[in-house]
Amino acid sequence: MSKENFYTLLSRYRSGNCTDQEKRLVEQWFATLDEAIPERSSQENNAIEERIWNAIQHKTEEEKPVLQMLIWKWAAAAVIFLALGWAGYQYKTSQNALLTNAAVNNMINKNLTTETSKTSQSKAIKLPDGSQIQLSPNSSIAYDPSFSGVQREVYLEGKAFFQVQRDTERPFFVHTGDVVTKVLGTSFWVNGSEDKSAIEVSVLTGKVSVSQHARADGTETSRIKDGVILTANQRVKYTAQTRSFETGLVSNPVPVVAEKKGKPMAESFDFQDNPFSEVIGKLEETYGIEIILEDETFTGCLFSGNITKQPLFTKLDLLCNSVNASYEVRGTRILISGKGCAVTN
Amino acid sequence: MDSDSLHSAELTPRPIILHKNDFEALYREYWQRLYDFALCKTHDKDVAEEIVQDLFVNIWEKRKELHVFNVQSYLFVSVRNKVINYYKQKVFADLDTANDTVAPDYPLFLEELEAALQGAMGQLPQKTHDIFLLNRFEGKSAREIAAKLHIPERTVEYHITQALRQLKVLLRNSTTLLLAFISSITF
Repeated sequence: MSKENFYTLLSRYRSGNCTDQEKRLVEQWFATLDEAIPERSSQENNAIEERIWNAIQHKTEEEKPVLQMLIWKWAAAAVIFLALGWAGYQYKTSQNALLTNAAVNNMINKNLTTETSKTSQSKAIKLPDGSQIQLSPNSSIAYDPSFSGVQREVYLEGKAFFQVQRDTERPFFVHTGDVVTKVLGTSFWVNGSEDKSAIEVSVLTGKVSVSQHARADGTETSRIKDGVILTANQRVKYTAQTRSFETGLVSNPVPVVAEKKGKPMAESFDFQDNPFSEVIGKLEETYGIEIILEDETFTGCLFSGNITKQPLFTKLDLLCNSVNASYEVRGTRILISGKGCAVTN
Repeated sequence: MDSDSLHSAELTPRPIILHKNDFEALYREYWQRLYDFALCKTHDKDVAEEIVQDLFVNIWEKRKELHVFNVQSYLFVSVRNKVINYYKQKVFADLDTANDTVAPDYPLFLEELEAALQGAMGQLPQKTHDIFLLNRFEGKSAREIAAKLHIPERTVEYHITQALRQLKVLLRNSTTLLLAFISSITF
């Protein structure tokens, strides 16, 4: 049979163990395959370039620096809490805005399974990939029942808690209103806000990308536009009216649950005359938050005490008190300023 | 020819990639030509993307052992091999039964294929035929051919395009069963 023979021919060619005739035939056949390539706009071109590059990076992730690796590798599941006061907002916006929304179009075009939680209790849903969703009251999610696409996509209205199964081959997207949340790492929370026209995402551990749906053409390739990448203990608030993202820190940062060769990262904060900068460095590492000491004045400062059990911001209060300093949260970073205590030594 | 045979040239090989920055630079420099090459051979955007993606992931994974003399030819040969693998898989998926034994009529198949390809090539106008041969089977660029034959580069390109177009028609019309099949999966 010729199919079989053709398969044999290609196999022999690829094995590198073939006759000159076979080689010539495959090369001649290959030479006749060419077909004209459709024209692409530079925009399309850039989209393809970035899409392929992102996929490559995703697959070569293990090579990233240590801190990121810890965050990425620690667990098999991601935890997301997604909540938003967006549901009421959407239907007030113009029909036009709705129609240009890529997610909504997708939702209409595809035959999606919808789950709704109407009771006062939340509802547990298990997705085909093993991810779990805890759907809050008066909320609904929709997804392709086969869940077999190149990427996992869920459309949410309302509020939900996600535990996402790790699968680097198939990114996980949560579409909510104008915003797309993409799971880049493993573990994160997405928190809601009281404000009916805002969406808030905050990350527990790991990494997510939060961005706005493309509105103009609604194509897949241009869907990821402006937005932010969040890591542990960071949050972003998206305001629909201004279509703006504002980043900050979560109200109660928790230690990044990272593992180093199977052991959880040290979380003890018991100090005996340790340099202040060292204590701060440990906080940075544990919480994955950048803490900036305003200048060198803290060089001579020492700290003693056990602050293991206190929440991060209480730790900072205690630390700053001990050296007559103060801290403030600036965006996703913490700035510590003060006069220092170098003279006493 | 397998990509490994590139290792046997006479110059001193050098590692293709050392750092992530080199890697990205390599991607940025070549992705588009490689993608277009894969696309014009497979006629499938998703497959072309996947091929380029695979190629660079492989390079990154093998970066420590990978020493090549000519980066460009290494990249293009790798894409070519991936394209052939793609067709191989496509044919394989189409087979009712798959086994490793070579069918008894395999030599005959080769003869028929040869005859069909040669027959189609033979029907090309002489000049188109010669230019196509130089370009496709001797690997000469349009510029090299133009210089050799003392004709404008644009004319060379025209002949190559014509050759491809005519070959497709000729092969599609071929009466042999096997070529009808090959046409159906490739054109």
